[in-house]
Amino acid sequence: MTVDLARFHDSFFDESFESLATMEAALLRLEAGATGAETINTVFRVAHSLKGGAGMFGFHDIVSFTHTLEAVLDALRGRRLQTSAALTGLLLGSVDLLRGMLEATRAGQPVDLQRMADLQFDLELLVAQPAAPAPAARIRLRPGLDLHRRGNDPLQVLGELAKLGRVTVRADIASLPPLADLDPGTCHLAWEITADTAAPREAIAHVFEWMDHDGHVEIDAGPAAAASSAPAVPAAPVAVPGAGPATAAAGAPDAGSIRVGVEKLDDLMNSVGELVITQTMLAQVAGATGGLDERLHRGLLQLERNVRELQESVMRVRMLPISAVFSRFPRLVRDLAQRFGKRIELQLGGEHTELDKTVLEKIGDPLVHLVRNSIDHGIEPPDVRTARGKNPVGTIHLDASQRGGCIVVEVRDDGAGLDRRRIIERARKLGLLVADEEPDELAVNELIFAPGFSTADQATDVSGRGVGMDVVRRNVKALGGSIEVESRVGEGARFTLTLPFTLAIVDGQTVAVGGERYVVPVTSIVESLRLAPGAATRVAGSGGDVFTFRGDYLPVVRLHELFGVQPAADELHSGLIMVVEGDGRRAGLFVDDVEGQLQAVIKSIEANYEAVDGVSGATITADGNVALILDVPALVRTAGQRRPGVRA
Amino acid sequence: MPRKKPARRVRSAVALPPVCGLEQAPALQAGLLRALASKGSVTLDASAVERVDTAGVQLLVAFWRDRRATGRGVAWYGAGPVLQAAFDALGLAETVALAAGGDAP
Repeated sequence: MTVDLARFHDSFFDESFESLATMEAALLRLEAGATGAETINTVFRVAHSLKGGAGMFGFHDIVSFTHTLEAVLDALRGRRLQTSAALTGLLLGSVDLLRGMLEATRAGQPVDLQRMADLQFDLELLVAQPAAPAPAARIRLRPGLDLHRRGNDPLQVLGELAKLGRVTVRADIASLPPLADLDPGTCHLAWEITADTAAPREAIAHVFEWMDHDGHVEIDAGPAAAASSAPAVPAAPVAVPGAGPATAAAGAPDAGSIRVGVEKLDDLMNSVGELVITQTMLAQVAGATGGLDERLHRGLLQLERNVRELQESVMRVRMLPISAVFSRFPRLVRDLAQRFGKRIELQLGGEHTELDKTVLEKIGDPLVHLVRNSIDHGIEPPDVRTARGKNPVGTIHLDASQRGGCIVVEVRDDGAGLDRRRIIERARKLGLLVADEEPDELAVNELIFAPGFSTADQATDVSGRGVGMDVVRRNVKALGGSIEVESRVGEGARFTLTLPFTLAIVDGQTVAVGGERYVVPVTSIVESLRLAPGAATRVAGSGGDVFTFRGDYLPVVRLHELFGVQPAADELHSGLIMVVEGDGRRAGLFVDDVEGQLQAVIKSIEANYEAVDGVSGATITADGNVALILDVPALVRTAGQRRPGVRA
Repeated sequence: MPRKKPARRVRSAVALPPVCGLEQAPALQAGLLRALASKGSVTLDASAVERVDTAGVQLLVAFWRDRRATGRGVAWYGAGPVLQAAFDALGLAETVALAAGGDAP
């Protein structure tokens, strides 16, 4: 009998990607100085289960590579191998490779065998080295940046050390910038030294004495001390204090959880939606009938409560902690900081804040963009920071919190802040400002969100490609959120993203147009008003109307014309105008009447019918009818194209 | 000890100064940068080197790594005991393929 294993592939890949994220988080903790056996065990377990799974499906390359990885981790676990920056670098490289291999295998593409062989070779080399007896002394040496310029030379120190006994030196060149960017006066290298010597700790310390003022030296004398010492100063280029146990807790598969497909949750959500409608109908019938049996009445009330609880529970099932998105940042910051020769500490906060999967999936990219911008443009290089009297290590905060019905995510850095002068210069060049206009601070900050705006002197592949903050803002707006920026020159910048909890439910206002009901998302409503007769002006040629609202001419969108509905009245003054805002522009929707508010469970109209202009989805109202949810940004855009809003 | 290698492409050479230290670093860096983009294999002529410090070693390591990252070859010519000892002491001999006394593939 053959079993079709292919149908299990997807869950293997999903689980493997998650495991790799757990592994990556553990490795970063290891690099930041964690010495606990549990961290190494976590990494080992991931490699082991990956090997098992890949073996079952016949992914031989992955099996071969994870086998090598396992051997290294086993040596590490058995303390036959010591943690070093070079080692964690290799292991992190292995995570990247495995991720690539999994992606390729899933897509049916060939895996990068060359890269695999290279890495495998390096790993095998590590294990093949004869098991050394426990070192007499372990020294971690991370010279201060200006070391060479101050006339100090590690070469001489290491020569001195060699006089004390047999010395094994491992250099870490991970922080070495490209040759073109290298400052020879700065020592970009770090070392991990084992000295097999009978000399007392004081003698070793004496050798490094002068360096203590000029960098970071850590001496673990004797094997007993090796595991217990903790660095006084975080030595790794990126220390991630906040990402420790929390990330692990979020990333590690909880023993009491099961994996459920999203479509099953969507089905469940739909069924609950139907149940809510049935319950509402029953309540309405009961209300109309009157003189109901007391027991039936109580039962109906209880049903209402239970249904509501059920709906909330299902919504909660779809909620995931934001750590699922945050967990990728420690690695991103580490890699980019190294590439730019910057020293950056990432602080994560509020990782347990929960939001709906739909939102979670879409905020990753905007956040990556903001954090990259902070690293590239915000945080200054260490020498510049020192010269400005700041800590050479910059800090980026990534915080999530719940405020009212929204999730607020903040990306904050203590870098240089927005460069007002350059922004204005650039804006003038782009024609966004006239030559002598001196915008206030708010207006300047707003300029960076203009399409095509970028002040990068030269385009890097990290940021400054011309597509920038405007794309971020558009994506955030598409989620029903907003983005604000605050900046202080020399002190840093703060980007605040306000996002809805979920995209599955929208707070909506029902409006009536003829016999139809439409839902307008509450967040896009500015105000509803009734126009006096003659208050609207017909624009010649275009056939549309405009009216003045707070000093602006706004176009009128006649919903009945757009959707081909017979309205209750055709005169603008006999209905209502609902002023709405989308993408920073406003328009007035002409409707017959404004009815109640509701929490609309959004159903895709595209999936069930086809995409309709001006409509973002549909929902089922309490009376069992379908109401269309209006796509306000699209409506405002179409109205604006015909009649751009003119300043009155 | 120069190693013979079939001349597939044009080779260029960077002659390292007698002292490869912090003072000489700007000139050395400029010379290495010019060679960095060279299409063929680059030979580092170390036959004149008498003294080297960590600043000099650092430049040579960065050059070596950047060349290798683009898949281009580097070879040593006349790397004597001074250079060898410096790279050994700093734990960087393997990085620049000086441990085996030959060039990198």
